[in-house]
Amino acid sequence: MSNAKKKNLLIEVILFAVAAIWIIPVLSTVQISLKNGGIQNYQDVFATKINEVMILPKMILNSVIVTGGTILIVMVSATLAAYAFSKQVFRGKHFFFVLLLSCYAIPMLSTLIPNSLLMKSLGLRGSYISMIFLLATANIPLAILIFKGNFDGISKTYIEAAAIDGSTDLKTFLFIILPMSKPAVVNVLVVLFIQVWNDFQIPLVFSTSPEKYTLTLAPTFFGLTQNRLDLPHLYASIVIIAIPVIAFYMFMQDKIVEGMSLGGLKE
Amino acid sequence: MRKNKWNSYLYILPAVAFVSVFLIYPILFNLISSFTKWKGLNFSAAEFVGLQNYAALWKDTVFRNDLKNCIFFMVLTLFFQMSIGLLLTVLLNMKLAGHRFLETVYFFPVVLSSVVIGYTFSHIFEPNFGALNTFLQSAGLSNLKRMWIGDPKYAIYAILIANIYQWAGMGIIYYRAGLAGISKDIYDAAKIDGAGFWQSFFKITIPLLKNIHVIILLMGTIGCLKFFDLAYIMTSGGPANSTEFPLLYLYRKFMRESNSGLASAVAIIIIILATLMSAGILKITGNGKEEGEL
Repeated sequence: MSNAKKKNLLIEVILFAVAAIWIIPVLSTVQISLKNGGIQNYQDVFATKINEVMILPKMILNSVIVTGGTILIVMVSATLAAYAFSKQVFRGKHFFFVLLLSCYAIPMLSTLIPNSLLMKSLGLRGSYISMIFLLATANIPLAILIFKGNFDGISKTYIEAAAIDGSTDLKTFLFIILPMSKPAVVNVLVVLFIQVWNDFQIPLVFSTSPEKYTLTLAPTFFGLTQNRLDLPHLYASIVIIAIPVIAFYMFMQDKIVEGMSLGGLKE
Repeated sequence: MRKNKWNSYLYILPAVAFVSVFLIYPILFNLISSFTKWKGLNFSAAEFVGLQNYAALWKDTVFRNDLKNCIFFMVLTLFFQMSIGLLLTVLLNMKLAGHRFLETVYFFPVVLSSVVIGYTFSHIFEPNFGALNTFLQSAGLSNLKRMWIGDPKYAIYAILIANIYQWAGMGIIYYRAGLAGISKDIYDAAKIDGAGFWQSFFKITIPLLKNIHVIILLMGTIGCLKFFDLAYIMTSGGPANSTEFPLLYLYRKFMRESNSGLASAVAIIIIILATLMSAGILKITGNGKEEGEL
């Protein structure tokens, strides 16, 4: 074998070895989730009830509601704001832009106390709205940044042409800008979905009863003494948490990767 | 000419409203609250105590240790994520067989929830049945077995490994985009001059990716200050506070000890540190304010 071929082979071996190491955690978790009962463990977890309600499907529903609500709010507010920052001129534009962006460095958890107080006085304690509003707030700054970047790339000529044809600002936004920025919209959508669906902190702190727990809190729920499951069942719930996102990843891998490279993650 | 200038304000209103109510107002509230002493959510009973909370934090060795953990963690995690990420990217860039599959594998932990990663690694490091100790046992290295998460000396490394696993894929994505911007001609020219793989790597690749390094550093430092999930799930900050981080401290002070004034002070400190660090990194590397643009 030529030297180059030998080198390539070595590199391939290294890369696949790393990939194997990367898969080990998955295998480990799946293995323990199947201990002592196999697939039955998963059925048991799904069948767990409190007050005659199957709790895991409820958690999935909660995740769907919270994620859906958040995505709706972020998409609407961020695209509108990005449009204004990108294509319009108004006093205080720079100030507001910097204001919105600088919020990126602030962890939502540091707003724990004031927001808890706020939610309590608004009577929204433990409600879906509280989680949706907070998750939306956390994600709006980055979404605006990504959309503005994308809108900036849309030539002003289109807008001027539309204005000449008598289009209003809103119409231009809805029928010209948005369709032209579909890739960015999809990217943000996809990244948002993953970030919000996977979020753990906000549901942890702001939901007050297991009925409102999102899927990410399933292990917390099953860890409570009255619900305590043995280890295999606990890890079955972990796998259940991972499955929707992995399925989503398999279908949308390209869009996800593209979206995440546009702007970082919460980390 | 804009007919109605107030239109713009309407466009930014929803975003500004949310951020003002749920982020800006809380920061201001935290500021005021950090100068007072109060319990739980009973703010009406707050009493003004000046800088007492800040003084207490300054004196608290646990809090100082948290900050140390934060920095230690930050440096190590960034070093490994950047080096592993960059090396893998460069190797993947050779487009050898199966590189798409490999990329899928390397990146997938990024889409997993911290909950999944946390519990998965809790199990791997489990002393009796976990993958690591089981492997060491069967490889005849049982004297290397440890109580990984239960031991104050090793717990933080366990969390570190989980964190690297989760985010290394991100490094690949960023570096790949950066690498695409480097012309192949430079490498070819270097090869003609006799440069080997490592020489090209250190003298061409690394310096030319400076922009990407900055972005990753920026997000990494902010990310470490925001660090909470993995530590909460895997160790709850223990054992003996060896894996506690500032946000965990805040959480504990508020949720478990109801010391709201102190927790607010912690929040303010974290926010100040995050702002300083971001500004610092941007200044040192001479970049503008455009984050996330590649």
